[in-house]
Amino acid sequence: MPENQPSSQPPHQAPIPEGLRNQLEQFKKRLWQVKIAEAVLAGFFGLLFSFLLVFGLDRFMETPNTVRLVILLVGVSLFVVFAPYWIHRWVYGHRRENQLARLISRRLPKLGDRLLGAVELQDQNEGKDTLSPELRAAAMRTVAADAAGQDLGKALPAARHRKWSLAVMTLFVIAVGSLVSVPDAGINALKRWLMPLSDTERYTFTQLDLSGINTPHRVPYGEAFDITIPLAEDTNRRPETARARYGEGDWVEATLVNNAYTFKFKGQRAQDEVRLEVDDARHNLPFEPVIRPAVENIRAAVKLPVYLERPDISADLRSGFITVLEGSDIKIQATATRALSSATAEIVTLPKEIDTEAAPTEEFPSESAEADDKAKVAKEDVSPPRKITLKVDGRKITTPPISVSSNSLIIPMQWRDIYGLKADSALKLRVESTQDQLPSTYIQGVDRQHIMLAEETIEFEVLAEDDYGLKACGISWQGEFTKPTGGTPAKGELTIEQGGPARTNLNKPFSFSPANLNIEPQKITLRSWTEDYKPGRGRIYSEPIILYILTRDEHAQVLKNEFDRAIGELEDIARKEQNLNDENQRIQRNQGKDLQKEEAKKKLGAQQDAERNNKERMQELTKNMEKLFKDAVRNGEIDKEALQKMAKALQAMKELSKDDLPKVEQKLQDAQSQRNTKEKSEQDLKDAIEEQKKAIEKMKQALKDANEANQNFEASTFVNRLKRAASEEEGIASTFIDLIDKVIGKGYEELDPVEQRAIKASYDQQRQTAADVRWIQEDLAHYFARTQKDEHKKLVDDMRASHIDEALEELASRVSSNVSFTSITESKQWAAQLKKWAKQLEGQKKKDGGGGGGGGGGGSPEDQDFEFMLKVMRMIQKEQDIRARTRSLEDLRRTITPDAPIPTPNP
Amino acid sequence: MKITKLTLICTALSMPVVLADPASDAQAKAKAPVTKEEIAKGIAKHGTGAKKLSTEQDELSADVQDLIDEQTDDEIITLLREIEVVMADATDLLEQKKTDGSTIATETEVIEKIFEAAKKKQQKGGQ
Repeated sequence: MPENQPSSQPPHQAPIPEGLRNQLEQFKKRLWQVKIAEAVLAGFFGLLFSFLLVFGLDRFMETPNTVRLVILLVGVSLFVVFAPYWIHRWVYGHRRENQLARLISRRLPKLGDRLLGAVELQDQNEGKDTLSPELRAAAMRTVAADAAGQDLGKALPAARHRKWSLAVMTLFVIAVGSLVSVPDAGINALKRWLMPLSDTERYTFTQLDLSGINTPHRVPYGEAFDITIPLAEDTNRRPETARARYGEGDWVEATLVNNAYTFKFKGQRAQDEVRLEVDDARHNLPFEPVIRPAVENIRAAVKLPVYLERPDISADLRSGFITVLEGSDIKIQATATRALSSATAEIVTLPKEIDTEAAPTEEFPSESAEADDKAKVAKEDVSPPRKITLKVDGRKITTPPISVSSNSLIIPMQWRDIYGLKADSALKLRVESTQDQLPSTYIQGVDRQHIMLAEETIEFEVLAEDDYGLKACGISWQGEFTKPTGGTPAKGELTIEQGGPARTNLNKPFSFSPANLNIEPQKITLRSWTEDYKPGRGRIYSEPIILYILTRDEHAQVLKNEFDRAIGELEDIARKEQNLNDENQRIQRNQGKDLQKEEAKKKLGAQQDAERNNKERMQELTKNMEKLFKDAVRNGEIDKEALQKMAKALQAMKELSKDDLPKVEQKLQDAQSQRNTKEKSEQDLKDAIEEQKKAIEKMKQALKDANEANQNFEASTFVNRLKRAASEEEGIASTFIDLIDKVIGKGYEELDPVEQRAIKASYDQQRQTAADVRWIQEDLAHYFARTQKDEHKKLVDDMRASHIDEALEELASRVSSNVSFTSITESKQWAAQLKKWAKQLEGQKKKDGGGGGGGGGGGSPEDQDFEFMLKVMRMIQKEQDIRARTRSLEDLRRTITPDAPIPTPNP
Repeated sequence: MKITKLTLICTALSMPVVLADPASDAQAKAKAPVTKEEIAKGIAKHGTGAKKLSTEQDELSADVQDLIDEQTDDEIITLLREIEVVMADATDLLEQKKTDGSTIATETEVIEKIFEAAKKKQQKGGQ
């Protein structure tokens, strides 16, 4: 028997009967089978159930990783923990006979106790006194006999393996069914169940294409926005509607259109998630509202046309407008507030005559019908908009060089940032095309017409301006003789200052000296000129300045005319002063007792104002007389007596304007004073009248001196006028001499137009000279009537006797008929006669009192002093002229050769 | 008659007395004309002008000599002789075709000295 005992049991002293043992072995085997089956099935149940749980949950939600992990652990734990435990409990814990007997005793207590007793008797050790092997064997047999009649299977614990099997089978069928019917979902669930911590995306029957949604997805800050979410190509379902909401906001529904759902959200300002639900698809998409990308800085690099020789310009373009010279290239660089992904722009060429604020294009449509209309006109005239490729580098956008023609341009620019946001509106840059304007130049500091002697120097400034740099500026002059002469009109030019590409203003003082430039007396048209860098433009000239460069006798005649006007003005002032004096006397007589009354004060006030006006006129006249005197001294042909009288009159006029007339005005003002007593006012008025009388006397004396000066002036001008008439006759003769070869023996009509023009000019001059001589004759007669000097009478008689007036008229006819030889002879003859008369009159004047400037030595000491002063003044004037001409020469030298050494004199 | 002399002096003094101004930097930096012909022509014109001025200055110096001959007062004569000397300097400079600041300064000195002589003469006349 011992060899039949289970190895787990030690050999017994008295083994139980074989039948009973077999019966227990059967019981144990059955127990083990059931419990092991239960353990295995529970393990499978756990696995299948946890898988199906994940599968099921995934259909309704995004099962979190942790939940899936817990599910997996719990599911596997049945296999890993419960099954071993169960096996340990029921297999290991019921391997011995006594353990089995105890288990049996739970269901069959009587039998179980007896079995337990029989099992324990097997190993009972007692003394001989107490142990009876027979009894023990008998007991065992009895128990075996009892047990043999019993079904120990009834003592097995409740078996659940069938239920477990059913459950496992059911779950298995479900699992297999789901894997077969929806393999994608099943396999996805299997993956997610087996690898709960992996990023395996949950399978949904409705698949969305979220590739267009960023994480987070940026939308315009505070602006309503749309999100379009299409269905994925491999979606199993296509629900008609979907819904989404921003954060905790209201749900927004969208229907399926074109295989996509478009949700319209209100403007958002806070970062949040958009909850998206489409059938079983559930997504939480993070969204962030951000400000749209704007331009932070924009500049234009302008490359000017090459001919300007100027460096590139960098201009701020934040105003959206820039004026660029035609022919330039412009490169625009903008910096956005955020890194950009793309940018587009195009060039819209504007028609020249249309001023559009914004020309619409397909990509950048206009906002108004008016703009559309304009654009239609524009499109007819200009090339269509053309797109340009922009370079995008981070936040920077750079255009390629854009050539600016004569048309203005509109450049609309749009960009998209790295979040896919566009700017609020397209940036429209206007590039206004301008042309290189003409430079301008003018002469400043000299009257439009100026009379001067050849040795005088005038100083002026030459100014030139241009928008893009000047090459140089200078002056040019063109002479024109006002009477026929054998000379050549002056013509010349000087470059006064060189410019440069960056010099838009030139300003250069210049001293113009006709004598230095060998310009004889004539009419000079002086202009300044300048030149810019525009090829082919050439020089631009200023408005002309007309310079009358006079001979001394012409100058004297001009002075005489001015002196006549000055005397007329002085007479008028004296007359006005006399009238004022008369009115003051009337006031004194009529209201002398009531000067404090308002009416008297008003009259005195009016008288004072009138007196002030007269004083101011006198001051102005004195200024003119001073200049006249200075010019007369400079002329050198005005006789000394005329200058002396003129100086005397000038001195009186200075005193009148500085002292006498102001004193009268002051007294008239004092007479109106509120603080005055009656007597004081009377006295002031009386004083004013007395002072005024003295002033009037002084004026009369000045007038007398001026008239005397004028007589002498006039006499000296007779000499000049005669000389000038002689000179003009000589000029006519000279013209004929020059032409004689071409014109002699021909009728006027046969002549060449050039000679015809010359003869016509000579004829006009002859007519003018004849008229001048007639006036000299008439003026002399009047002059004699006033002066009663014999030399004037003699000259008038001689002129009348010679019939010069008629002869010169006849000569004019001959000149016009091209009777050339006679014209030459008679012109010369009358020139000689006129010179003779001039000399005669001049000689008489010298005999009477010395010539202007020359001689001297005789006369009173005062006369000698005056003569000295006169000579000194002329010296000063001459020296000043020399100095001014020296400066003019220096200007000339510097303009020609600033760095050249001064030429050294020949030894 | 003194009034008349005073008028003359005042008028003379009122005439602009422009002091010599040295060449400015801008002038000095002005670029030369392009062609050599123009330079040659300009230099010739400058030379002729300077020569002509030299002659005129010399003639004016002769006028001073005439004025000296008419004077009896030693002091006035001395002043006029000084003027003659300075004028001779100016003539020499112009003869050498120098028209720069030094020549203009010499000419200014001539003008100042003539004023001085005029004032002295007036003072003598008033005594």
